[in-house]
Amino acid sequence: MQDLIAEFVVEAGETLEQIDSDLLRLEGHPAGAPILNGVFRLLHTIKGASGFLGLTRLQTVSHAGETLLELFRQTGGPVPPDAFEGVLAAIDRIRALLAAIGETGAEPAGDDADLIQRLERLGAGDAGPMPGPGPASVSTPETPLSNEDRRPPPAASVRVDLQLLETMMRLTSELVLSRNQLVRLHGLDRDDVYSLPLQRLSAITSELQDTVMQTRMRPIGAIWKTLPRLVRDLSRELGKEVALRLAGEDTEVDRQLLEAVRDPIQHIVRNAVDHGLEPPEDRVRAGKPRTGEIRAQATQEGNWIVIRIVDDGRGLDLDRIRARAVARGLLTEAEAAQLSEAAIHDLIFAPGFSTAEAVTTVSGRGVGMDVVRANVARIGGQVEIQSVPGRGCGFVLRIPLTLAIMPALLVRAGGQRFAVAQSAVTELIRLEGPGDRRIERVGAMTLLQVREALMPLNSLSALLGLEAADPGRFAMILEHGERRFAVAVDEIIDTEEIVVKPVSAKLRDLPEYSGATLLGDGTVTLILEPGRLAGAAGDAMGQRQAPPVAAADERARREPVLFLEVGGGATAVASMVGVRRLERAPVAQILSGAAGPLMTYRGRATPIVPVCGVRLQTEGVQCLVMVGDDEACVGVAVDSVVDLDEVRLEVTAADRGPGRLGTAMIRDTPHPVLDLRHYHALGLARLTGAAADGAAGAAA
Amino acid sequence: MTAQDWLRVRVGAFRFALEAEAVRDVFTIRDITPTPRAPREVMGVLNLRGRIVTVICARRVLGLEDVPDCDGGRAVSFEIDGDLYGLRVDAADDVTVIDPATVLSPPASADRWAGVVHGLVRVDGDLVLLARPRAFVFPPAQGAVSEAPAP
Repeated sequence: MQDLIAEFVVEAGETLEQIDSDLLRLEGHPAGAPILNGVFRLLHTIKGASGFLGLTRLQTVSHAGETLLELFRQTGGPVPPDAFEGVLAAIDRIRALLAAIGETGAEPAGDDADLIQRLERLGAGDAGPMPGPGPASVSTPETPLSNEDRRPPPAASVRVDLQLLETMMRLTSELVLSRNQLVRLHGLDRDDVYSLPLQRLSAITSELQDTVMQTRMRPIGAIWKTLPRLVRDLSRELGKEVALRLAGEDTEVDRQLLEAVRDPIQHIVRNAVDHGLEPPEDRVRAGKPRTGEIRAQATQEGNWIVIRIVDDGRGLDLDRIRARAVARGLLTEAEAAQLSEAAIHDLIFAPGFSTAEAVTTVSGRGVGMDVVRANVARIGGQVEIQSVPGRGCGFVLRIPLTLAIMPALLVRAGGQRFAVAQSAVTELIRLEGPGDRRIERVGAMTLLQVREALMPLNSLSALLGLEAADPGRFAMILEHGERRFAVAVDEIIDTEEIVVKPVSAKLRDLPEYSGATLLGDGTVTLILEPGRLAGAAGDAMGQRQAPPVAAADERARREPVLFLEVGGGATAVASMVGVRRLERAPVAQILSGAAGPLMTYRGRATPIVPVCGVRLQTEGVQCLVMVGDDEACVGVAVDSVVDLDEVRLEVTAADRGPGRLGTAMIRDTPHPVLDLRHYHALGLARLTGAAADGAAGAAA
Repeated sequence: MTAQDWLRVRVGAFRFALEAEAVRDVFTIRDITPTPRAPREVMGVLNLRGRIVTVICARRVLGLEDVPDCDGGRAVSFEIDGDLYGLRVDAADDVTVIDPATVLSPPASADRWAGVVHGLVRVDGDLVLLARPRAFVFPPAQGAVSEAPAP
């Protein structure tokens, strides 16, 4: 509300200036009806807006002024000088009130009875004594309102032509580029007469860039404001009951980006009302409150603005989406049957896809989710979807904070330079020499283990189809969405502020690049789209694309899960929680202790416990999942590690037993869910038992 | 139709004429950045006086034998929908006036040339193929106009 009032004060100030100039013309031509109309309209506007904002004093004063003018408008006669003075007095009062509101954000106490009575008398043709501009009513006694104070409220903001802002932004971007070029030419470590001025130029440029960027920021509330009306109209039309909850309206986004997500957000909300939420009776039958809920929330997370729009409706109907995709010829029946849940969710973004049975006026007009995704992708953002049947559906839009300039990391792969948004890079790792990281190969997949985290590792040259002599000496650990993965490169070159330029239409369909930039040395470098590098890494892991999403709903939470081969080619899954490392131990290192197999691991006797159904290898290497910390580590033996993925682990009680938490549907196949903690406990028990046995033996 | 200016260029053994009005510039290809995963005919991007130019190889569009080294090659620049493109040719000659009345329709065919060439004319005894620059960048979807993008 406060920003609305501030905006109103500025607008009304401008309106007042307009009224002043109109009034002066009115005095010269008392009978000039068009001018009279103009003043009338301006007063009317102020009245309307102040009424809306609950500024009652402003409202009554502007109303009285308007009423007086209305009289002359109707008669068409000239405005008598005393009535003219009356209108001026009303305007002065409005100005004084606006000034007070501009300072304190609220209307000052007091009333305007004197002025209003005066205006009413003037309307009745009785010219009484003129009240002053309002010293009695405007409670700012230390600053009496004299003629000198008859100025517009202090201008805290001005309106600027958008084109001008755009030009400023572009010029600033070019300035940053030139600065970078200069700094590069001069050399960072050289110390000469240019060093100091260059430093200063550099600092000022950065500050200017920040400031200009700031001028472009708009609160997301500008979009939020449009939603209640949209939801109200729609829910009435569809006979649904909807509660809309908005949060994070102060979150600021570059205005260009804000414009770009306005339609997508409205579309998602429209869809939520139309398709997502059930009619009240259906909701009651399903044991839900009659009123459906749509929550829209915006938060800033690093260099991203994350917008979540969640409904508590019926969720996506997987079968119907599948059937529709087949009917539309997007894929075959057999292909559809094999799709993972996430891949089915993804289908709704396919061009021309719409599950609405009938084309309603609301949605299903062919402008569908594909347009939403395309629009968001155009500004370097992404849309993710999460849905739980019967419980609701959520969309997560991630959009960059700003488009124009960003700090980037320059890397080399396959002999070519590439830029990556620094915001996406969480860590740089050397893959050669000593260090606390390991590379594991599991089938066709390469995993990088850094401290406790295990993530897929792909080389950038491989992802881009470039020829590379070696797999890469450095790895960037990237975070995109809620996914972490590593990308190997040949060389880390530098960091540089880059000005993002769009690639041409010919290249726009390439998901690998989010843009291009001119570097300090004048060459063009492509900017990699981190999301795509994640997607490709995900693809390599199991032909799935949809990145996992943290859900508000605990049940919808995805977690890292190991796919393990345990006996006779059967695949089981196990949560990564508690898993320390994956080891491939030479069989020779595994010794048979009194209570079972043991190995020395990190200087400690560590029990080896095979998962039920697994027989320890007799030659070669043994795959081990190391569980627990250094003090209490147990090696859980499996036949092999097949995959690592983030999936939703919804465990049912089927086949529950010792070491088995139950069964979970993953990729449309039931998988036994192992309880690694069980095997950990088993191993530890053996260790303490063995220690007790040893102690007993020594005592004997 | 009135007589128009056409820029004569050579691609392989063939002579082409491009609508001169659409052409902004003839430039030499330097410091080109390859664009992995882009369609085959895209050679890369380069900086032409502060603007990013996407360079398309005319030989590749037409399915002619590739010239491996492109640095120093000639290209014709033109703007399509606000983006700047460069068309790599083997040589750019001169601007000539062609009388529309002398232009023949190209023989009907469904190969990649059909989408690019929209007329034939004889100039000084040579057969010249008339083409619109846009057709090299976004060949109309008729016949096997361009290779599928590299996987």
